[in-house]
Amino acid sequence: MSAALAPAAPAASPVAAGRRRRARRRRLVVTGLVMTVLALVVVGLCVGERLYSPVDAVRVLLLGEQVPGASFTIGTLRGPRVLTGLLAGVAFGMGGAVFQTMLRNPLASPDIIGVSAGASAAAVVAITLLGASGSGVSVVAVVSGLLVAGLIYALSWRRGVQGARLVLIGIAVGAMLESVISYAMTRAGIYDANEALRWLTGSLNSAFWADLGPLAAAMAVLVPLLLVVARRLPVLQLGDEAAAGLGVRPDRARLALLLVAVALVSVGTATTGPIAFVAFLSGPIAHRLLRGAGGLLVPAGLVGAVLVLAGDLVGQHLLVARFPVGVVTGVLGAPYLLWLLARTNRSGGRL
Amino acid sequence: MRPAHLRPLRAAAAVAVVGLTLTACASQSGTTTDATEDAATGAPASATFPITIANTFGETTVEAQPERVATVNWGNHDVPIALGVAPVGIQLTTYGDDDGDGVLPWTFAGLEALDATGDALPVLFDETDGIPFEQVANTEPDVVLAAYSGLTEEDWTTLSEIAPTVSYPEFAWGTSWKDMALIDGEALGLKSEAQALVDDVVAQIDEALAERPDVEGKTVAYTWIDPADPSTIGVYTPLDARVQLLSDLGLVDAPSVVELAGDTDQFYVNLSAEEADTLADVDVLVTYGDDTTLETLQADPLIGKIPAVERGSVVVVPNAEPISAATSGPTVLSIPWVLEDYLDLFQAAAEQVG
Amino acid sequence: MTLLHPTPTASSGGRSASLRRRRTVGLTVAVAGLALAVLASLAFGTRVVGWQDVVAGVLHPDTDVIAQAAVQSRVARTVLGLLVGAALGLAGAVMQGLTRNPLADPLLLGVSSGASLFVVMGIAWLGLSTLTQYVWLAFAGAAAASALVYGIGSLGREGATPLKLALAGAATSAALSSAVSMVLLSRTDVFDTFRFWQVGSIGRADLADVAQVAPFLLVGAVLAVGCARGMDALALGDELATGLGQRTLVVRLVGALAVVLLCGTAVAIAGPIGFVGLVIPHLARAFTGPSHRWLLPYSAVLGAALLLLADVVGRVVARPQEIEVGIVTAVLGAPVFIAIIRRRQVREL
Repeated sequence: MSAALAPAAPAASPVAAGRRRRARRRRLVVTGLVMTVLALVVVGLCVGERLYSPVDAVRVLLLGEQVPGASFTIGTLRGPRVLTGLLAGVAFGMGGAVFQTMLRNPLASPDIIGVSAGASAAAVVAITLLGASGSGVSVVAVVSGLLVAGLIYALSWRRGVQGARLVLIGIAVGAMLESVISYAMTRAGIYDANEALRWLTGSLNSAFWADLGPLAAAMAVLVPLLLVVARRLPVLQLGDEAAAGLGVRPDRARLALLLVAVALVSVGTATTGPIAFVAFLSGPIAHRLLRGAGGLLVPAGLVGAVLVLAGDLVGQHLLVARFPVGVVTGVLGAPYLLWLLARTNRSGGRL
Repeated sequence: MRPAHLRPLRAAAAVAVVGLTLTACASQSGTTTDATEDAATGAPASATFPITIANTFGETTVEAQPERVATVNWGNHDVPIALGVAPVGIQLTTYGDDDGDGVLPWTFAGLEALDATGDALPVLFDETDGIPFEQVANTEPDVVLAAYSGLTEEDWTTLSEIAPTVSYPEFAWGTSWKDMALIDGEALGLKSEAQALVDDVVAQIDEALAERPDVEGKTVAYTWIDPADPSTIGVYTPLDARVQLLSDLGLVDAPSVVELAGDTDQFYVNLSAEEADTLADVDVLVTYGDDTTLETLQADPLIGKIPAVERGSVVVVPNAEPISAATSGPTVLSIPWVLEDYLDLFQAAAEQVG
Repeated sequence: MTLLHPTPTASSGGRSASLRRRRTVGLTVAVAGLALAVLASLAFGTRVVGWQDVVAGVLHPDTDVIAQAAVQSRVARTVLGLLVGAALGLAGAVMQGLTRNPLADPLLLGVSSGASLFVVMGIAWLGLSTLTQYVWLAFAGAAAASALVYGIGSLGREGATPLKLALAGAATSAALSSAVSMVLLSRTDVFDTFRFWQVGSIGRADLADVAQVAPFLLVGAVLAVGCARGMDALALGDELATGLGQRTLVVRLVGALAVVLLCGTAVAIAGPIGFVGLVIPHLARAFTGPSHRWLLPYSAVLGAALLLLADVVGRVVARPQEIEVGIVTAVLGAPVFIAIIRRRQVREL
């Protein structure tokens, strides 16, 4: 059932021409996505209350020159905002795709099965009841995202972890945490509650260099690690027995993958809040673009970045009010989600 | 209806020159600003610059008398307006706005007096996604006022890169209207004027109180009761600005409220309606609602047991209307605007107290 | 009666006798438990009230005494808790029966978030603020969302599997809550009202409100009981059910109408309360076996008892504050849900 997801496994395709065609398609998709991301980065840096030329952006960000106006707008505001959006998008996209591929269900993304809720609940409690802000919130969010994921994993353990059980337990834990969030909201002053709501939706407005450093550092470790661990993914998708036959210990491989993916998603969530639906949408979109041409993770990460960057541009400049990026991805994502849901169910559960 | 969208272009053009002088100021001394400031504000500089103001995040130093004033978050804009300085940018208000223009009526009246409406209306900062730093920067302010606000440290640091930013002295959203006026005024170099303004508002309050002899000294509880769920009473603690305003109006926090609040740092605490009689020592109960609220509360078997409710000494502040905005985040402009109406409500309620 | 015996449990005489005994004893225990829950709900609250005042407060309240007034207010609350709890228990049993799905629950299947979205739009654009105004909107929203979730979840060859339904519900909730946030972020005043509604509570209604919605619950309950036998047949699979003379489509439609009436009303009057509809039928099945004619009354009784007890817990743990019952049921219910999942074979999911 998962052949479509598997990267071209060695010796799996007998026809060399087919392999070449897929490689070409993959190159095309990845290049196209990278170009789109770059274009969005440039637009994000140059467009705003005032327009600056890409030259100004290069002078400020790369050459470190002082350009009146641009030094602040691009150097302090747009630079970290765009980069945070880029990195968080990659984190959500890749993390989500790992969940979806491994659990063999496009709907099994971290924002639906409670992992994001774990990070969010702790952050909201920290914001509303403890009055925390900035990096304090981030640390709390990462730690509790990991703890909740660990808890979900442990609870799903019964002579091994089954995908379906993990998903359902994740939904239950998520529902419980949602009620904790609602409780914290009713006990907070309206200003704090508003702040928490903005965070819960996912916003890049508080993206500054100070938070970007830890995010970049974490991703510099996690992304390569994920790509290494993810080599086991295709084997896992063959089913546990087949995987064991091929010398892969399925539970251990799955745990390693999950840990890295959860860490990615939590780090992203800690910086921007759980930007709605990015983790969920990236994998399926990437899959549609690739049509089975190779591994999903890198394209999914790029799609995530595209979604966040484009969503932020729309939210900041094109709507009646300056909405946080999560509102845009959420409202645009919802119809796609429902369509995907209907389609997936009709075709029997494939991504 | 939303001039905010038109403003940036105009401001960008108008400000180009000022922007140049500003960057010049940064390197050499502020001779240009000294020359223009008196003419611009129309008020004599009452303080010697630089002025340094301490806040939770650090110190804010204003080098020269600010000419272009931006304000963020709730209510801060009223201070410069009351002091005769039309801000270049203020918050777009979505709570309690009467006519959907994003400016509360007393603020609008104040701007009108300064000829700062219509095309000259300040930029309205849309804070739906937090503080719009670019929009703020684009107004090229000399100072950003936020003495009453919930700025985070990062917000403050970033705003400070735009211009010296005045933040709250102790905790978020915990600045009284007097302190807001004094701190924001001090940053404008108009501290004594701000003090005079506060004194004037206090005098107005005293005068209004003299006409309503029953108000002074009554004990109060400021509550929030969800008309859809009367099983819980939300009680605002003495930390909240609207409760502090009541003290300024000669009313006294009921001992039960003080005890309920304890040493919480929250702005309100919940009380089960079953414990409604905890509030027995309250002379006047304040709550939000409409014409039917008092009747509903009196009919409630538990909330109706609060003596203040029973005898009808209840002030019902109309929900989400300008009067509730004027009193829940009071300022030097909103208090005079609302004073007579607000105190009439209290006088009417106080007359019911035996 | 004997002509129709679709119940798989009525297979052997000896087992059936012991089952009948278990059912009767169980029902007695359940009713006794409910009576205790009612007593607890009347006797315990945020305020500590002596037994004399409890008795007086129920029988002939002297409303000048606040202790007795408190007890009196608990009467309305208890009646509401009974109705809502029974409705949720019944709705859960019907949902699980119709979908042959052990994990059906209004909160998890997105019904509540549909109601939330409609209520938020009502507060924001129609300026509504009272319970009776919310009721109809919540009702419409609940109906729309359940139709959507079930429609999507049941597409495909194998029908509405638990996993598909749960995911469809969780995903729909996520989608709807994005729309809710969009309204709330730009309207602080709406958010100020809505965040309280969003937490399920049974403290909010008086007897007049209860009387207004009771007919819906009654009709829902009658419809639910009416398709009990049909659901027994459905449990054997659609083909067998048709063979036994059941019109499966009619059973499904009537059952769905019952669910919308029961859940929609419960959400409308008490807000989103999760896990009662999920957990109760599982508890009940331990006594009744799969027969819906027994399962439904059991679920109603146990649902009411559970909700009342959860409410009592919420009232006494944080004095002088109250914790809303929706939060208590989520915190108590999620572990039970997890236990149910852990006990099942994954193949059944």
